[in-house]
Amino acid sequence: MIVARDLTFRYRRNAPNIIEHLDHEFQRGTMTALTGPSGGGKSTLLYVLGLMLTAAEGALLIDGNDTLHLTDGERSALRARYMGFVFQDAMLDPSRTVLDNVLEGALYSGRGKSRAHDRALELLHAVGVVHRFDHKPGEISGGQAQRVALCRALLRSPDVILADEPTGNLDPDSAKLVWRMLEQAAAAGACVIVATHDPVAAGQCHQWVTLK
Amino acid sequence: MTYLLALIREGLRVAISSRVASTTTAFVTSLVVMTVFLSVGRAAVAEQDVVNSLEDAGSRVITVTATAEEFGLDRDALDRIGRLSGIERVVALGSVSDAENVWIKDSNRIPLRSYFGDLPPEVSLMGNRTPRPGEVIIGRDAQVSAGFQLPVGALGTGDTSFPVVAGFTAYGLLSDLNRYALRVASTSDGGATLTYVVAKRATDIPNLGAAILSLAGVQDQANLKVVSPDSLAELQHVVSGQVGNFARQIALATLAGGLLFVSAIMYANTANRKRDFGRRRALGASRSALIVIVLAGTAVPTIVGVLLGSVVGVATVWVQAGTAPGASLTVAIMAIAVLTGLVAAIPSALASALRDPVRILRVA
Repeated sequence: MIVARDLTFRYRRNAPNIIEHLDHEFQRGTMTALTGPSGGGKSTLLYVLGLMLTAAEGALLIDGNDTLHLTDGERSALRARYMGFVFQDAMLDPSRTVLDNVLEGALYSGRGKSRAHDRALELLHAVGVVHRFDHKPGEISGGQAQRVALCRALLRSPDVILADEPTGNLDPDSAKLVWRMLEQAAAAGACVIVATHDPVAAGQCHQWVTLK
Repeated sequence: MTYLLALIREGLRVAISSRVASTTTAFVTSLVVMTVFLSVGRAAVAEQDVVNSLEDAGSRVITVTATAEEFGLDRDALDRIGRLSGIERVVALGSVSDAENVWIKDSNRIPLRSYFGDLPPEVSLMGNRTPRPGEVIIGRDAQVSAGFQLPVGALGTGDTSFPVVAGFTAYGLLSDLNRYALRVASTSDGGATLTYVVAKRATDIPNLGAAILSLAGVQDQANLKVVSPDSLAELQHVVSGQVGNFARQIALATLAGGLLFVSAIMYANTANRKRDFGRRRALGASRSALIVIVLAGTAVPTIVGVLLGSVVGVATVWVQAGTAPGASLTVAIMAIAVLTGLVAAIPSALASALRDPVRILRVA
């Protein structure tokens, strides 16, 4: 699915490498943990794999196609159609309802929100927040907000799910639920990549990439 | 197209959710538009007043006078002149004869002339009685001069008398006709000895005098006198230009100030929403998609402000000057104001699109 070959990343030309000569194949139907110390480049690698940062050297293939020379529009289109992001902070739009926040996941894929409406309610039901669908993010708990963010990422059933410390700020019940949803997505064929410093969470993954 | 509409809708939602920025933008835009209307709109009204005054004084009228009826312009010549490019219409009068009120002994004599074709729009008939051949209508001043209480009776010219069937008042550039009595020209009448040729624009005047003379079809042009108001037309052109330029300068300064102000508001608003733009980028929004969203989000309060400012501005000009700016000027000001608002949003739209989303997301 996603193949990193000799992948090197640094923020500026003369800056030190954050990711150095990484080789790894991220397969469909698996969960991969990106682990390592703080500042080790877990989140950076996640954003490189999510095409929001461009590697300095090496190759990043998605379904066999090199992505390093794609334009911003092409990278954005790939992100919109095939990827779902879950951030450590839920990053919901505070001015919109819970349902609208979930539906935003379909906006940039060009498919239209209306078709995604039923699927959004279905996901909210699955994470136990459907009764709050017309509430604003400020009116729900942090755990509920993160579950809503997960629904947003899963709305289009993306091929790749990139999660940056998705359970870092959650209570145990919410963390368990989020983790179960990610496992279900992987079981359904998605390539789930999770940046985490939690060894227990990493232990539940199928593969590991350790950054130093 | 559907995707573009979805982004525009998203921009509208952003505008609604950014209440402070949207309200401030709408308010500033409405003030700018009002100011432009109060400067340009009033100047346009003043300019039109000057133009009207100069037109009343004859800035668009070329007068062709024949020394005698036999040298006057016949109907064919009038038709040729009427079809000349730059000519709005031709008002032709026959030779003049003295006439008196047959019911009052030794009444004042007034000039009676025949007229060719239809009555010009500047002549307003009182009584809705259109004269037939041989009948006379009498001008406002002529009626008083000849002692008519009402515009009915008869006018005599020696051995012939004509029934007076209606009065009229002539306005604007033909107000001179008020001192005449007019009768419909018959086929036995000679050519037109006094012809008013009304040009479409005062600026056409310098070129029309010679053309009219060449189309007149008169053998000896010494018997035809063409009076062209060149200096009046030039004056109208100069005055209009000066008034217009002054108003345009004020409008440009106002728009430039408004542009800077709206630009600052929008920039501050987008700077406050870095997280929002970072999230959108992560969800798949391209840079161009963000630009569309920001521009659409600016267009909404701008259009609201333009509409509000236009209504208040036009109404204020109406109250102060007694007349409103023309429709084309109003539409032009509104279009320029909307365009200015969108231009003002470009820097913030570009800034939003070009910011590094990862940096934003990581510091969030």
